[in-house]
Amino acid sequence: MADDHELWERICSRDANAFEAFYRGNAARLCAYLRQIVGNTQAAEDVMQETFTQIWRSPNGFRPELGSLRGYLFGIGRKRAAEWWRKRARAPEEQGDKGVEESAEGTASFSTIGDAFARLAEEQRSLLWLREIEGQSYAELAEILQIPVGTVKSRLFAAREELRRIWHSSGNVARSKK
Amino acid sequence: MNCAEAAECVSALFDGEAISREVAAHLADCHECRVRLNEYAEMGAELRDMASAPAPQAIPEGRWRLAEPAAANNWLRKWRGTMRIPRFAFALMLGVIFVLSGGLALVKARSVARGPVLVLRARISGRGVVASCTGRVTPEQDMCSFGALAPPGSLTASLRFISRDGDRVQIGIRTKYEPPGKTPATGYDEELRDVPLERFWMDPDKPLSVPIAGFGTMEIYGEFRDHEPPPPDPDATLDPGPDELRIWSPFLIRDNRILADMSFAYAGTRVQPLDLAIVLYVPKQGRFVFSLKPFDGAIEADIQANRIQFAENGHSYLLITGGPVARTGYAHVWVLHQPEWRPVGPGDLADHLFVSQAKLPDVLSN
Repeated sequence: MADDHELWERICSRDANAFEAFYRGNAARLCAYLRQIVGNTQAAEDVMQETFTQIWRSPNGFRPELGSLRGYLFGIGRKRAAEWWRKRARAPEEQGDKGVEESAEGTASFSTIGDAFARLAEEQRSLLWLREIEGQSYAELAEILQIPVGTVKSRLFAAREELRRIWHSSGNVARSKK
Repeated sequence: MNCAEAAECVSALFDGEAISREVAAHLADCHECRVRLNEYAEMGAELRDMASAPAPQAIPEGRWRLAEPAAANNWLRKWRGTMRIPRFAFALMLGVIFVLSGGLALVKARSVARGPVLVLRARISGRGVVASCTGRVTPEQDMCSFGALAPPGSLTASLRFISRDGDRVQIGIRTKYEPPGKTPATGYDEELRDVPLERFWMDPDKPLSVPIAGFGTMEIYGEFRDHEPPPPDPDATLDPGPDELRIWSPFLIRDNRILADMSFAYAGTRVQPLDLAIVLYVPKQGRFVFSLKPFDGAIEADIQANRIQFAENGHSYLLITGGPVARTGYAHVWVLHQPEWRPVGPGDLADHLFVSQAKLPDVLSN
């Protein structure tokens, strides 16, 4: 937390080296997370770049007492991804089915758990990714997703149960009971 | 406790959250819940394995370097950043502005307080301001009489300036409330003829509450001004409304002879449709009906700011008013002169100079 605070102070004082280190340390993970939301590698990279650019242009809103800097970054990224979806919904003719193709191509390289994971709702994918891959705490998830901690708990349970149901239906029951 | 109740806690337990003893006891004995916990762990491991499976991507060059920093949105930081004069000089400048503006406000207040014109506004509950009266504070004089709906009945009142003592003023008020169903008298003064004058001292800064028998209270707000405000009320502007015809303080001349001089008299078709007219009655000369819309029998007259000029039967007429007659888009007004017309009223009371507004069809029908 203290490191986050110090790093944030340097970012706010326009320290490009500090921001570069912040970018290097988090860009790949943020991009992987965003790919789960937008389902498109190129779009995920664009959203990731927009997220860092937004923070660099106007660094405000981070409160160390509410969570980590990485949690704050992922929260901004999630909002930018939601905007990406809204724009995409407004101009579907411009997008064509490129996103779908890339998504299908992406899932083809997934393992079985990846197939099951890809069939979850976006919100559940986002939540499970942040918890299982990024290891965000309940409090950080609440801050990122702008929901109460109690809701984080219940939604995580619902997401796991849904993933478990899909996973079982694809023949992994026996494997899981070995 | 059953598995369904404990299931959400299994998820929480997997995340390292604390669970109750009751749930812990259930988990110790429940095979199904332990399977769920194991599957959560297995799914988590698979997910992490999946996330780490792809070959690490090269991190692209950050586009953030191309972005210019946004303007500071913290006003204090922004202010400090753009401050170009010494802070002491800035503080001194603020102080000077404050002192000067305070002095100006004081001068303005004194100027108004010493004004020879008294403006009184009458306000009743549920109707707001029902009358505005203006008059000079010397000598003692009637300022206005008015009637207003005062649900469920009607109210008639008159205001009179009596005397002034410094910033205080003594006014005389007559009021009469009539319940619904009573036919009002033909004039306000006649209605109030038998009502005694009540005297009140008031400080124009404070509203005066006047009790009215059978109704409640009427509040009077006072204000001294150093000039005569334009009609129809103290807050109106000299500029007439878009389709308004306004005659204020008319001064009527025929050839070289003055027919009427009516200081402070006012009539206007303010915020009204064009079928309204203004009637100017001059004893022994009949009435003049003015309208911005042509109508039967009327002749065209020219408007020049505060003047209306027309010719009839070899006579030239010039009506001079206290302000613009209409907006500049109106170059003409239509006038009907009815020399034989006389008001219908009780005796001498009716045969006086007056100017008023009325609907054009009503005027032409009587």
